[in-house]
Amino acid sequence: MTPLDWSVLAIYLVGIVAFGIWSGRGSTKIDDFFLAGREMRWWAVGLSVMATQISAITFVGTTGQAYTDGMRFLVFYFGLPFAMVILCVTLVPFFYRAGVFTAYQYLEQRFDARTRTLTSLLFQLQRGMAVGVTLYAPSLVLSVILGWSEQATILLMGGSTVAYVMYGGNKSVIWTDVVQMAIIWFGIFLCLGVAVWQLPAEFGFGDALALAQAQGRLDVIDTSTSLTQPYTLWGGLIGGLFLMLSYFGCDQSQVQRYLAGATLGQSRLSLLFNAFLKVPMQFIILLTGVLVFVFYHFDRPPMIWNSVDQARLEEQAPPDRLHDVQQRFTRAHEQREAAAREYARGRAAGASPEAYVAAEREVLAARADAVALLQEVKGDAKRYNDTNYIFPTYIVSKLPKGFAGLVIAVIFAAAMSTLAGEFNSLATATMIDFYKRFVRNDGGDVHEMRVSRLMTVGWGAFACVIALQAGRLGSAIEVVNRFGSYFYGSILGVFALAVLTRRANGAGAFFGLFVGMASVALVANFTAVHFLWYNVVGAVSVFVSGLLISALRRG
Amino acid sequence: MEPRPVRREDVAGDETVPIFGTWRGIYAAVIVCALLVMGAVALFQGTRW
Repeated sequence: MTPLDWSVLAIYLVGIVAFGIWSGRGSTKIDDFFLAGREMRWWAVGLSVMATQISAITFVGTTGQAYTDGMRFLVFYFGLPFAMVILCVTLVPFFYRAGVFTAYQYLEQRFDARTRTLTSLLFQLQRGMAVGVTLYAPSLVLSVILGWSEQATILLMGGSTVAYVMYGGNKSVIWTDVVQMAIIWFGIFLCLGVAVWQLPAEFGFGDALALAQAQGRLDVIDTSTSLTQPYTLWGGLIGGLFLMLSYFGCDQSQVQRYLAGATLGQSRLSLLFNAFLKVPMQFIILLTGVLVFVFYHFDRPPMIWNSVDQARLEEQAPPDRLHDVQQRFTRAHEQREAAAREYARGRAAGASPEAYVAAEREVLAARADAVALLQEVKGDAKRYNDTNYIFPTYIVSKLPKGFAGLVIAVIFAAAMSTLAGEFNSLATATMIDFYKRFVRNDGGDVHEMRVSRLMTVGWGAFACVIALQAGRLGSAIEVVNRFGSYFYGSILGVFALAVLTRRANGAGAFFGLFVGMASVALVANFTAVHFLWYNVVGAVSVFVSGLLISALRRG
Repeated sequence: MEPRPVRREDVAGDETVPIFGTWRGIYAAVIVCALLVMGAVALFQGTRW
């Protein structure tokens, strides 16, 4: 990074905190603080919904995944437009008319206090741990890329986000999300343009796509009906639909965004805005990753994308073995470059990509050698994955001066927009579903604002602690995230019981939730069904068992 | 026990949908657009570049 890049990054960080504080001024009641005074326009809420969903790891992870595995991840989003329409017709009007702050508050109106408390508690447990990961994952990548300590990136990212969310609440979250989303869109198109522009002069966009296609990187739609295979069309359409219904309909971090809409229509339009744009946006992000893959045919990529690990390999590996591995990798890269040029030249005349595909296999084998040597050096037998480092490495080493700083700012923006929404929604759930429900409800505006701000700081501090300990808590975090996947669909089942039928009662919803979580736990532990289907299992189990329990308890 | 939240009433203008006129119209547009995007992706994948 050049001084210009550092300046761009610094201007972004200072600017976004200042803007967040400025845009959130005037919040005097929790209605302002948590729901932005319920006066936001659809386009601002829509951009905030989008920004909350696109985390930094979505941005660097999916480009990296496209590099290594192609664009098949796109089907993950195929259910989203349909989910948005279903939510606009079903849950959104109920939430809006009920005048609630949290989705779970509505469950007390419809069922009982224990159902509300349990669902809110589950949300806070899972989201609270997940926000630590949301902070840790990009901080780890950025610390390697920028040469900072992990602690510095965690505290910078977490602290600057808490600063404006604590001051301005949801209004700050939404307006900063609007700016951050603009920066993210600009960054995405910039990366796409630069990736095309940096191809060798004789290579056009079509040639790049032809190379990617020959390596299977453009495969998206797989019509397999297997439940165990990841990212099939049906998994995306049905599993993805349920996942998106759960996320946008029952997760407070999203519900809170559209509850800030000035009218029911504005809330609905904000979701439909995402329905139109999300899949094309994700397509562009993945395509950028694919073009980076093609770019590195003509520019020798690092053997190991994590520069700290690469340096460790160079320092600690036996020199003769390191030399052999490097030689093999360089030779494989040169052969692939030659084969790619040969194929691109001859493809119009019907040339076969066989030699080029074989050359790619040799590159992968050479890299596998390097990874095996690294693991030997580290004494670590776990599956090695440095996918998240691919795109940031490309940004820092290959983008023109000034652009690298901007795209690193995009990664910060993606992380901070998600964190902001999560801090704000966690504070809301704690304040509304616990503090005001069980501790004190008549504190007055000044007291409630003070407690709300304290809770925002508390959740921010909790996220920082989790992120700082994440290296040591690795398996615990995995357990919590796994636990989260058990109840995500199950909570959707509870909301389905609430709005789709009058026959369900509190007992059905409460005990049905446990049946749903147990069903998902069974499927997850005793079958190889892909996780995209867990939400279907959870939601359907809760709905069916909830109706049965309701009938029994009524009788 | 907290007081019940104040109900929010639908306000005039909620049924005004930009460009598409009605809610039914915009929902149909979203679904048609989603299907077209999927079709375009399939075409992108199937085209011999």
